[in-house]
Amino acid sequence: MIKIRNLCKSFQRPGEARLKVLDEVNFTVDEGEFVAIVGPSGSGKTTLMNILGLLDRPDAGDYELHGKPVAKLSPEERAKVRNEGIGFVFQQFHLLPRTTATENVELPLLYSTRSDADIHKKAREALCRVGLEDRLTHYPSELSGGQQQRVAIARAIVNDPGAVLADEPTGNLDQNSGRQIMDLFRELNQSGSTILLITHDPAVAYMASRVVQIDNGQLTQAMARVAS
Amino acid sequence: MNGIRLIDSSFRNIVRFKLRSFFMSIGVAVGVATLIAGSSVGGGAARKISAQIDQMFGPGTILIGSAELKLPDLRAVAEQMDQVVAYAPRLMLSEKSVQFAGTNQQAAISGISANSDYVWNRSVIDGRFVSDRDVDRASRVALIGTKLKEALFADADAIGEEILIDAVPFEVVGILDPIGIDPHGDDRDMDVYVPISTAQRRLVNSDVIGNGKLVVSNVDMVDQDAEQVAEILRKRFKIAEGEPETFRIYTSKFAGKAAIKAKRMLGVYIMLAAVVVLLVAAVVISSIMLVVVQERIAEIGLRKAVGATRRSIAAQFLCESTIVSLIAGVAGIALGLAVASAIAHRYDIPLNLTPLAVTLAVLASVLVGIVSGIIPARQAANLDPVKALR
Repeated sequence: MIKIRNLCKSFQRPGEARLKVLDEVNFTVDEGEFVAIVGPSGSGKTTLMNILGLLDRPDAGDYELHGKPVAKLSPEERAKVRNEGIGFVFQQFHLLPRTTATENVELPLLYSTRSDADIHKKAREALCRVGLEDRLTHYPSELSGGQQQRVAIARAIVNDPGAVLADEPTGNLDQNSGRQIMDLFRELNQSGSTILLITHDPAVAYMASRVVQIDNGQLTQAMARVAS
Repeated sequence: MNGIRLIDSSFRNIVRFKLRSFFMSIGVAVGVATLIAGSSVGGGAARKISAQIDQMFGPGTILIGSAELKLPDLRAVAEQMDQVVAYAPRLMLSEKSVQFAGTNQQAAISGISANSDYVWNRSVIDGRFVSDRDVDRASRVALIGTKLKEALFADADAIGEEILIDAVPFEVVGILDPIGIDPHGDDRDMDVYVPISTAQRRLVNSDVIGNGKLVVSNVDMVDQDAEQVAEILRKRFKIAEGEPETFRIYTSKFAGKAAIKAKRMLGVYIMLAAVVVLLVAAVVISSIMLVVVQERIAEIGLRKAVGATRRSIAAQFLCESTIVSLIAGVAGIALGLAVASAIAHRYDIPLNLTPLAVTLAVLASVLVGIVSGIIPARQAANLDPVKALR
């Protein structure tokens, strides 16, 4: 599903030495896996996530997503891949304010060619899958943090992307809501979604079926466990 | 995003942020209102002025004004020129008090002759015009304008009643055609016409007439005829070659040209004012949209993350500024019409709203919307989603 080879990314800040954030990274995620990437802040995990999500481009290296090379796509083609092949979940939820839960979930579908009726139906289904069937017309400001993150997850899966990328999805939640979100990810994984999440929290990473450590721009296999 | 979704989401944003949309709209609304009000009032005013000039001049006429002009001068001109088919004097007096049964009005008094209805293009709607007999005998008869009639008599019949002009009694014999306010701003429906001989003897005691009008047979020759009139008058007034003339001559051709020029100038000024306001409006919308882009960085980043292309982000902001501007334009048309009809009502001008002005207003507001949206849309489209989502 996700296959990267010799991926490099560095940043140049004026007056500073060139910083190698990712250095010859090789990494594979198979279909149906639930992988957690852990690492301290500044270790390059968000940069890796942005590249995997086609929000950012690598300086060098190959990237194959769903069996297709995507490293050299044009911005328009990358937007299409993001729309159809990837779902994002962010730490700050990034829901549109003054916009209902359903409308937030519909957002990715607005950039597709689906009919309005189809869009409404898919958004409702996605919200049901995350357990928010009774919050369809609520605004983000009327929802708890955990519920807002569920809306964001519904948005990530609404277009059946195959891969869900989550960047610190529990970072803004209390322990209890965080657990529920992780349980939801596991449910989604069990029903077929490939999930890749980054976190600095070992307890969160423990819920994944495989954990990968990133440090100083290098990936190391930390541990493998089978989901219970 | 397809067109309908774009328009739908633009409308939602416009409604969601009402105050902001309002401030974005003001400039365009005022600019379009200027255009609409200016062109409908201006067009109406120009039409009215043309009508008044037609009324004053008519085709193929020559107007003479001079402080020396007396009736024999006018007669001499008419007798020496075969092409003059009719002529009539007009003595204009300063405003005088006109009284009836204790009601007192100030009114402009004119001395006229029996053929003035034809030559000066103004007749009566009720009663009779001044006759040759009235002029020969210097009868104390008067024609009054419709507004003066109303001011003095209200609904009662005025014909046959006796009014006092400067304490001299006159019998009202006719009511003049209503022609409204002239280009000088004088209400011609407050006029009083009396036989010229009566005016000269009873009201001013002078044989000067001041104004005369000639009707010539060939409309196209009116400028050449005017030269000949000037020649005759120079001789009669004994003005040597090179000395300044003590009379002024206007022709219907000259007046028509002046009216066209005035109309053009008015049009240019209105356009200029509207363009300036719309330019300012574009700057206002543009700067507010730039702030909106800054405010919505996270939203733009998110939209890009879920699959919005640069083009669809740009289209969203362009669509929003264009719709705001278009709505403002429509409001501006309504506002302009309201202002125009208020002015038109107040100054008794016909309203002249052309389809061209409305089309122009709509096009201008769409153009302002698009132009002012370009820079913000480009900025939004170029946002790096990684930075935008941070």
